Amino acid sequence: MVTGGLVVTHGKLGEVLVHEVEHLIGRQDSFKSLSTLGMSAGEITEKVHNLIGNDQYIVFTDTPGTSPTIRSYAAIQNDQAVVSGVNIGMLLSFIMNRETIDFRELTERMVRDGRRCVEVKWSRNQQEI
Amino acid sequence: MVAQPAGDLNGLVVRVDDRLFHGQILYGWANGWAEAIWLVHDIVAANSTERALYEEQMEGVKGGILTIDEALARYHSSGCSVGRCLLIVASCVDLKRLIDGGARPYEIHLANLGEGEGKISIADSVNLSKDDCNIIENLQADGLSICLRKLPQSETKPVVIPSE
Repeated sequence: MVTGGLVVTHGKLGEVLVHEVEHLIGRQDSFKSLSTLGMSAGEITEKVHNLIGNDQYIVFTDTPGTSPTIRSYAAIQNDQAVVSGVNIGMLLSFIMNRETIDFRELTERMVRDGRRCVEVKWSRNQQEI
Repeated sequence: MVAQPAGDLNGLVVRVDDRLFHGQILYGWANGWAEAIWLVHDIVAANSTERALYEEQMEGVKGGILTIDEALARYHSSGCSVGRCLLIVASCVDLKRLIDGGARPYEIHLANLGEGEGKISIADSVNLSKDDCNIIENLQADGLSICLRKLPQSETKPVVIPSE
């Protein structure tokens, strides 16, 4: 069974990320989003649990230490993980690799690819200073 | 940039927030304003899984997790002098228990209170039941300062309960 992906974020961020990834590589199975807007802490955990069940899943969240991350962490069980700092690079890595490598290696690879999206480029003028 | 403490806010602040300890607290209140942060929640305090979850999130933050009775005992034993202290409760009912127990905060903030059947929205992310409205109106009538304030640097807005 393919590893599922659920993007849990503040507001519409997750919906937009899933939409943009599918715009790039086409519609995907077991790949969905959840906005936590208007939900209490307990409601977020309940909703995440309902969406991922006991299946092998990775829950992507935007920011560590925030409700989507904390309450998704409360919902996961075996063969499930929460990965914060979601970005398009991380999600593309997830989709491209989820059918070919095992669960733990998959999480490590997409975290590495997600981190590659974080970089600073100074203008050439500032480089010279 | 390090957040600057809000100059006009000094003392015990009680935040009513059903998200409990979360991003606004970690990145906003714990980042320059609060000298201590207490999550006051009877169920979280008594449930080992929930307690461990929030203790992990609050690592490095002075404070911790208390029942309402424990919070009141701590408040009274410190002579009610608590410095810049943020105390988080999940509901207006828990807020009332604190006030009925003698706590007198400098300010009370309504933050995140989720949607639900029969609730009305009085502000962005703040939804109140009829019972919640009664509690807030009674506390305001007793002279307590209740406002909307997301972060220490945010402007405050008054809480106005709409008439039926």
